[in-house]
Amino acid sequence: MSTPQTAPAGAQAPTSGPFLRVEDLRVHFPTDDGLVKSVDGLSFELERGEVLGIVGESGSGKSVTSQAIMGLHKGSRAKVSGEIWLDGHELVSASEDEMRALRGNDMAMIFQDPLSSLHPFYSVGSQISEAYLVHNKVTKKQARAESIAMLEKVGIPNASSRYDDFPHQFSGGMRQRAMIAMALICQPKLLIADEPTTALDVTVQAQILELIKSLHEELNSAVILITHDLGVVAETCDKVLVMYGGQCVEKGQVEDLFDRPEMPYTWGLLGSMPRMDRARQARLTPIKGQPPSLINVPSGCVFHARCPFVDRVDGNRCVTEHPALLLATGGHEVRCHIPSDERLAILQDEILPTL
Amino acid sequence: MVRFILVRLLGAVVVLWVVSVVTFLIFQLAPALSHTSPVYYYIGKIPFPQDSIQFKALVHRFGFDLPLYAQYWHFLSGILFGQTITDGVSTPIQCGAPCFGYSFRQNQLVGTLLLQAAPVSISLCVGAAILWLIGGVTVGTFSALKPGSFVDRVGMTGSLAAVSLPIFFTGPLLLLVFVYTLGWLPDVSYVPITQDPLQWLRSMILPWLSLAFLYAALYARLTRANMMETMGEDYIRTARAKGLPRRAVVVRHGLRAALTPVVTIFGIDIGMLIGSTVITETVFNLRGLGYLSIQSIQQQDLPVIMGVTIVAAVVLVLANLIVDILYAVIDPRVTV
Amino acid sequence: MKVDLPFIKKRGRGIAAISIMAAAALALAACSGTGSTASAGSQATFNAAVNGVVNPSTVQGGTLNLISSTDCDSWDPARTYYGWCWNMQRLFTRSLVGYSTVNGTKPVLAPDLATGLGTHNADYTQWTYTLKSGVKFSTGQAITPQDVKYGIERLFATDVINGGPSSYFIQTIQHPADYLGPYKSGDLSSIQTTSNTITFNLSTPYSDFNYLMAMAAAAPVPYKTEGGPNYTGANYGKMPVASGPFVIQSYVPNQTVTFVRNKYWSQSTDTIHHPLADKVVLSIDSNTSDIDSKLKAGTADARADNSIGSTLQAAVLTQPSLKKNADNPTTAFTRYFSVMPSVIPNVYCRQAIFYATNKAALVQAFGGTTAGTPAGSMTPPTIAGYSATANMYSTGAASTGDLTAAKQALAKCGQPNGFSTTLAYSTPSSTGPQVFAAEQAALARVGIKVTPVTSATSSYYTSFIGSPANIANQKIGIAIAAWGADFPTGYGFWNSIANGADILPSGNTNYPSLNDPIVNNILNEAPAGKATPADFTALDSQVMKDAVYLPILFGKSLYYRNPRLTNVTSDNALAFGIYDFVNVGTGGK
Repeated sequence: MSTPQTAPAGAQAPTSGPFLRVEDLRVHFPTDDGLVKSVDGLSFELERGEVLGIVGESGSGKSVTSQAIMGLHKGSRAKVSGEIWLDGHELVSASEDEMRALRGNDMAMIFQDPLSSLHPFYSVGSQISEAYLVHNKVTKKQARAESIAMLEKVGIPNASSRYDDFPHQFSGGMRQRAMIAMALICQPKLLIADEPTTALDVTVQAQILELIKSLHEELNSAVILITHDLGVVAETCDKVLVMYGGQCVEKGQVEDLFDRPEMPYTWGLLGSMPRMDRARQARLTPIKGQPPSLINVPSGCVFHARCPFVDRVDGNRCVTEHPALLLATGGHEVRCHIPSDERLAILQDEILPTL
Repeated sequence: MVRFILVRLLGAVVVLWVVSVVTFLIFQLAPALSHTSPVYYYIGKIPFPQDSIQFKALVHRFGFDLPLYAQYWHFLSGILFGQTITDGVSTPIQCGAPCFGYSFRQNQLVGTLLLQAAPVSISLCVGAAILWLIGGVTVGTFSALKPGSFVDRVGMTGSLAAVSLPIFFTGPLLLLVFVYTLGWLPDVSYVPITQDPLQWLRSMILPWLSLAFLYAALYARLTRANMMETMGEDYIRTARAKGLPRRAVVVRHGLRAALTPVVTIFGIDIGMLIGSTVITETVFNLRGLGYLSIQSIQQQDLPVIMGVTIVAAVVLVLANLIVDILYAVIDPRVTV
Repeated sequence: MKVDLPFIKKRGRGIAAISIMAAAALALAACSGTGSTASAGSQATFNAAVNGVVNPSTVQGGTLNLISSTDCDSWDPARTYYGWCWNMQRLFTRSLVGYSTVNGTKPVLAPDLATGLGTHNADYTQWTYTLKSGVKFSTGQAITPQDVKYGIERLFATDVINGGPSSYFIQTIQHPADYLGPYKSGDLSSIQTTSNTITFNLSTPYSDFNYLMAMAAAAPVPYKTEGGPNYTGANYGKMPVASGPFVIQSYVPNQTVTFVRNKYWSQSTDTIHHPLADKVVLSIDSNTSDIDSKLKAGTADARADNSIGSTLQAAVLTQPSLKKNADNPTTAFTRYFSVMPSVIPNVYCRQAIFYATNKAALVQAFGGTTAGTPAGSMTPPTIAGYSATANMYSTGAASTGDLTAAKQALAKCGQPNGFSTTLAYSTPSSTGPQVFAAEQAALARVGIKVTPVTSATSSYYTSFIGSPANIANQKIGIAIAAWGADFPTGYGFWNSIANGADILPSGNTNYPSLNDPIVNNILNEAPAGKATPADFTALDSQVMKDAVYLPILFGKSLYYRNPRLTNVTSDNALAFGIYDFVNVGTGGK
């Protein structure tokens, strides 16, 4: 059970543990076809000032994880278990009212598609003010001033006049800036950005990432950046967590993991990423096969059906035995049956030359 | 916005002009097609052959011997500028614009008949509309918030039943229970609100209920469907992520969006309703526009039929216009 | 003459000829007192006002509170054509002739404004009346022969004074072909007046002319001035000048009409009207159940326009305390099936339909025994030629049908196993479908199969069964119809429905297109005064022989009188048995 310790906003929580600790998080959705195990036993930690990148294909459980942290599954049919500790509060067992007090205030979220994520009938400014008003006892006028300041901070020109514009009158990048303003208006200690740049032009993507980065530094907040773009992770994050089939298959410090990726799925991800710093190859190397079913989660390793290295493990263990997430040579954790040195050998001999 | 309204107004005027032409042609030409004279539809059956002097005198009096365009202009100019009803003998009757002519069957100006009937219809429709809008949206919203829950099942089963029950069933049933059996309400016909507001209320409750019952069911289903769709939208998730209280999420963000299509349908329903409450008016003995239209059709009282038709068209067109304008107000994405 | 059909107002079905039909009032309940002979004055019992007078009294004063569900089609005596409105006209208009007896089955004509019934020449083409002296309008002006003439001339102004029974006068009185009344065509020279006489020159013999002069339409109207500057022409009906004992004091259309005594009327000049009340108020209330409760509570003294509503009917028939204040008169119209010889040419096949018909079931379909009694022949009790025993195609003691006779007729027709035909009725109708079902079931018993054909109520009588061509095209074998005379004579009843000379291509009222020389002969002789009651008995019998009119029932209505009312009797001459309000008293209160 949670121990609701309500600390004043912005104050350092008097806890010894990490700022955010997710422990064995499971999010299951009962459906007519069976139980969808969208997230199944996920654990990670995050300190303030750190940026965690969560990468994986669509449907690997990245967004579900972030929404579980925000408590957005409460009231739905989703079954959430495990523990989420944020600044001394346990969130899985927290009530909707407790969560509501935290949402937007202690933790905030930026969504993937800013157009559909903004209410079409309200002005951009009023939607930002609304977020401020709900957590701060101020007048509408003050909230407006605060929102305009925030809009300016995220780089909206003529913010005071754009305040009353509706979302459809903003460009895509502007909308995402407005979303960021909305998320940061209460100076949250945890910011979750769920594919914040996917829907944007490439030129705008960099600006938005830069913005998130600079604001995070200013607020000293913890950031979870959800993306399928490893390049973004490499640019932005301190830590990275690779998800596949609702599970964490590899996680660690960014430099370490990018230097010595050990999980075959991570290799696949890297292989399917275009590189500008190398000579162009004939073609990218996509990961063969389909993402696993989350209803009938494969026995053994979730990745075994698509893994080209299954034959490197004796006794068909990849199919029969679920590998544990173990500390690897480089200091990060990997979920793979192939012994660590052999993985490094494969990386060196077979993977790196193709990237 | 002003330009938008002007353009729509202009469109409405064009539509109404077309309605006036079509109405005129249908009612003037239909008798001719069945080889009868429109005279019969002005004063009833005439015991004189069509070639008799008596008959021709009537044809002349009503101007049916004029060219069609002149007859139409007479009809239209009456509506636009008013006219003097005269037979060349009797004291002329001044009929101010909009003049829909004179009912020779009832010896009254059509406008007077419409004005007598309108308050009844307006009382009925407005009261019922408020009831069904509140009732339907409330049930629909609660159903949508917990699909499959007890509330949802009761609401949706109830609304299915209500949709299946026609007014000519629910109306008499309500009368039987509340008037004849329990005696809670008086068996009276319409009392003008200006005369006795309490009696007005008492006389209108059952008509409102039986009319609202059917529509409330439709609106509950409509609201539920829209609301369920809206609650799955990304911006609802955003609203929750902001930490808004559930009430604000549901009402300010959910209902606001879900009700937009409902408003459109509501406006059109109201517009259609005003001339189509015949059954309710019959069951509850209300002399509104629906009753007037049925009565005039049965009597083949052509000026009244045309008057009711035009009024119904005007109401419908106005309702559409208001919906259009309202839509632009509600949904900022509609460019005006 | 017309009566309101409950819920559906019907006007002028007879587009063409003289006469017009009657619609009926619906009712239920026990036997009527058709045959009873009540004494001249009687206490309140059921049907006491049918033939007698209930609570005879000479007490003057008080207010008579009447109620009706609709307003009159017009209060202009020339323009009204509802039976109950003719009865209301008796309150304030007088004509040369009036009815001294209106109840029972033998209405009696008597001179009213005239000193005697009209004198006529040998061939009934010239009629002369002498006016009483001292008769005055409610304006104080004396009523002159010129006013009577003017009133009749107005009937020719059909483009202004539309409605009403004007066609009787136009088809009877000599006039130039283009004469359109006093407004446009001025004086009508065929009507000659002196200071106290008026002479009508007719274009055709018309022995029933006194009956035309007894219509309210023949009432005098002040020469040229009419009702004053604002009440001339079509507006006269908004405030007509009175010649009778009452005068309209105020009139709010569709709400109330208030009558007070006409101070210029004198009892000494009037042998027909014996008013007792000081004031008569007619309230119009569209809610029939509201009317019923007011009648029951006594806040309304009587309903002026129609049978009482279903709520009160049920109470009246089950509670003796109420029933004694009710009357269920048999009235002057017949409901019948028109059996079309153009579609069913063989007379025996038609006879088979006559025999197989279940009139008892049809009476139920029309509303039960208070709505009518099975009719053995076409002529209703108020008309010359009526016989209580006439029943050429007897359908048995219980009027449920004679299947043996029906099968014999079918055999003679050469269709021993029956045949197929159609039955027409108008829609919407509260009784049509039930009547169809009853007849279908009855005829099915002898193998005659019937399918329905329907038409809108508005066009049913004019272009559906009123068009002989349409009857042939649609193969309408049987059609539901009803008929009542505008004045109670054999000629008035029969001419429009049986004279082969008056068959019209549309708006025909002789639905089966009967063209029988024997029938035609009697109807052609009648206006010349050559027809006796025996001739009409023979006519009725001849029509029945032709087997084209299948009588179903003689209509009845159910009325309720406030127990406080005095001098109550039924007006069967003008208004289908509604109370004769002009002579009703309220005991001074």
